[in-house]
Amino acid sequence: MSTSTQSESSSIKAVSLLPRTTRKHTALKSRSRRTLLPTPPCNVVIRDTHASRLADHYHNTLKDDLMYLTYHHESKPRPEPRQIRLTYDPENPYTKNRKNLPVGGSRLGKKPLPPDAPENVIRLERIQLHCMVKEAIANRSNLLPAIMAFRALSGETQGGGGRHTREGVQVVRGKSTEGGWIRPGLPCGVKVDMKGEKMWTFLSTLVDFVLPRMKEFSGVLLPAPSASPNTPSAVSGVVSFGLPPAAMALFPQIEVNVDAYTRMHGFHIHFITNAQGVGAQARARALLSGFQIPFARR
Amino acid sequence: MLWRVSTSSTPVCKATFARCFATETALPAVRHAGTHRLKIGMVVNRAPILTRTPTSFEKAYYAYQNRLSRALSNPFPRDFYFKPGEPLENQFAEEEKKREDWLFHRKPSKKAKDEDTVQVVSQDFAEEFEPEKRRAKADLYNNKRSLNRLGERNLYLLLKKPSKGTSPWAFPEAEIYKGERLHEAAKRSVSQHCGANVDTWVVGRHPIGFTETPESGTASEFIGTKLFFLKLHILAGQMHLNPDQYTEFQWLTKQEIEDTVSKEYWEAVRDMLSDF
Repeated sequence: MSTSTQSESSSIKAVSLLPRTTRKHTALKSRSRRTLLPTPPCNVVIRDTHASRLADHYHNTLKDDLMYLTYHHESKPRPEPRQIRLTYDPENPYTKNRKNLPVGGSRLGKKPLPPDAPENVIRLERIQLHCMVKEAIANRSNLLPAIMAFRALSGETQGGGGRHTREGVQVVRGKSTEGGWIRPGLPCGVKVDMKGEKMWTFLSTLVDFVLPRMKEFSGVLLPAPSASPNTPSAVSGVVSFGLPPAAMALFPQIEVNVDAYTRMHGFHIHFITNAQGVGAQARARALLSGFQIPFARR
Repeated sequence: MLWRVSTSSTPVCKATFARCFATETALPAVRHAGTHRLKIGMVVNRAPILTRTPTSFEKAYYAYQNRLSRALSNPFPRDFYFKPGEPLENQFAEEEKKREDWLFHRKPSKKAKDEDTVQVVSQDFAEEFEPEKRRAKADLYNNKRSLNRLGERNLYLLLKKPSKGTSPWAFPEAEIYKGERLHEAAKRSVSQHCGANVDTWVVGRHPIGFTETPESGTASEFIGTKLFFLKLHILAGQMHLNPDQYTEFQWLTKQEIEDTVSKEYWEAVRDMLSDF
């Protein structure tokens, strides 16, 4: 602080008309007006509260094994990709800022995986749960049991633990008008994203408590041998499967007070990995089988 | 968690079966690559069977994060989980108080226990599922032949050759027969070296390491040996060594292997092994 500003501030002294009171250090007693939750006087981010067994298993054993299993040796450098002409002339000022894909499409299905390296060994990024509740279109309060259930399953809240990217349980709304039963903005489902410690906890409860106790579950269905390897799902690096409503009651978080949930919902589980390209979903399946998720043929 | 002894449920491999019925012990043709002998080495890994013991820093860190999350989380919705007047609620409240006292370093209150709080969770359940001790007998006696030793670490199999003088300890090695792929050779030779009572799984078909050693004698038709290492996991079983080839075996961590094998061998194999 320079001396000029100091003298300035001393000449414009603010005189408080309120009586001076000594305040005790109320670190966690001040509460947010909106949420009424205690707000600490500094930005606090809550990280892992315990060691995750499956995360350690991945780093100890799975990561090395998956690198060896999925390695594809490239003895020569990759040839230059075919230069396909773009839809619009990039020099044309009328079409300059348009989305300019190659003629014939983005060819997402033909894109190869990046060269194998220790940095891009397949790993689990996040797990997403999604539940479609068609009755919610008629009455929004039909979403509440699903929201409660997803909150119990995931433990995620909006901005929970100071993590601003965590969105918690979100309502899925219609994007476009289809078939007269959906309009843009109409709530019709629930989804939640889990990352980090909560993701590993969910995965371990799924594998240890739910899947073994499910009747008539032999495994996640593998795609048919004749299935094309260039479909959007095959190059996505995402493995998805669904659980029936009865499976929801097998999760310990819900089993402890099943009566509090008025309705059980079936839902989809999406395991999202870092692989993208031809053969990405196969690698994702190899990763998940390392966590003891069974796969079965039709 | 004690190591499971598997009864040999895996079928005996074709090559050895055929050999049982051969009139003469005609050895199958060994593969070579022109001027070099071809061999495979097996890095047989016993993966960790116990979760890691947290260090004092990790314990303090996790306790701190637990305190933060308890202080900043929503209040516990009692009405959602307990019906009014449920005895389980009182037990839960007591347990929660104990947990919070421990976390926040508070002195536990010395009030007389309320006689109405009935222990709802039965004692039999706790007795039925008593966990095994983390330190096995093998840890007490430092038995390096045991698969139960050092449950948190990755262990690797080393075998001792009777002939070699200074550096007898090495990973199991074997010849590759004609018409055999690397992973098939690995599976076959592990059952030959370690006996039929061992369950193993070869990690893929790709080798994880490679060494080339020049031939020592001048009379040999080969100028060197190419050795390809493959990774295997041992899942269950007990070793029964073939005494013609190897005399002793040990299951060692990476750091113990450094102290056991020769310096050149260590430089060749160190990068294939897990540090922890």
